[in-house]
Amino acid sequence: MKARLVIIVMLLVAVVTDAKGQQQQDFASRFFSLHQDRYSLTCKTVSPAMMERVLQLPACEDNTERRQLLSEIRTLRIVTTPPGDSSGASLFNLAQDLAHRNNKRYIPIVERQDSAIYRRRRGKNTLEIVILSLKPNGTFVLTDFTGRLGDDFLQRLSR
Amino acid sequence: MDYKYIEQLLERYWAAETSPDEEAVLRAFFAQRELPEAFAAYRPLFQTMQEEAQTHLDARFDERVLARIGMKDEQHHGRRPFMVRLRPLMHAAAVIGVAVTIGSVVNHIAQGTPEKPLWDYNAAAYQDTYSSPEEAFEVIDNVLQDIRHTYREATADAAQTDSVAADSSHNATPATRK
Repeated sequence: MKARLVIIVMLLVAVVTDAKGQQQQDFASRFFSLHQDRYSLTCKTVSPAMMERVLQLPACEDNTERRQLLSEIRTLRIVTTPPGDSSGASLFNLAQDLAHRNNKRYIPIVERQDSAIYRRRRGKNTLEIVILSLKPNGTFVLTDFTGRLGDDFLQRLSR
Repeated sequence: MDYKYIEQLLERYWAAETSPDEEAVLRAFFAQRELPEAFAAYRPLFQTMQEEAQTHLDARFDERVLARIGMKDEQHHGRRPFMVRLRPLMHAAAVIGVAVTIGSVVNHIAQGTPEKPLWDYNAAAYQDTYSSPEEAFEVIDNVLQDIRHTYREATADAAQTDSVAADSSHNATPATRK
């Protein structure tokens, strides 16, 4: 009897884990849900469906390099504070803390006083790039790309 | 009184040739209050047989045995214990569990380990802020320019002051690897 109960519980756990494993939350969404109540934050989103439509624009279709770069992006989220908001530095630190607490998931590429870039990988693929930036006017900007991003995505972007 | 019939029955009894009916006659005979002296010596034997024939299980015997092994008599006590009633369901669940496990293993062997979808986010969680692709494109373009600037600045600093945090050797870009 106990053995059967154990089997049933294990099957349930496997099903639940599998279902959960298919729905990850991106960094920006997590950060926004954690701090939107205490801070004045705005989150702008571009969905996978909208990215498909963007790729069909003439501006993309005519430029192969740009099209290639954008085709790797599946979603975009931008979390910002309003210009002149005094909480930018605190939010920058909070975002870094969140990345550090999830350091197995978000690997730092660059970490500076006013900017940081993290990458989430699975195997040889980059699934997410998170860019934190504290502008000279104190504005905090968190940019989060997800998609099937090439290893040299940032280098190609910076050309 | 003629006791020849009884004597014959006795003789056959000692020779183990009596039928159950004949033995019942003997038992009835020896159950009488008054017996001829010649037969009195056999009375204890047939009385014992009579008593043993009347021995039955106690009326509560079944109940006590069922209670001892953890099951109650349905007819006397109505509902069976909850776990006992669940037993068919448990059996069915166990069979399904084993079948699913075997099926899964066979599937893995037949097809190899299925690759998880690479992009593992929930597409439904992304609600568009912008209603037109042109608007979205403008924002994306601005963001990419901004990131280009941030990345160039950060990597240039890293090259000059070595203050950029080291990425793991596996993950780091050439510009920031220590």
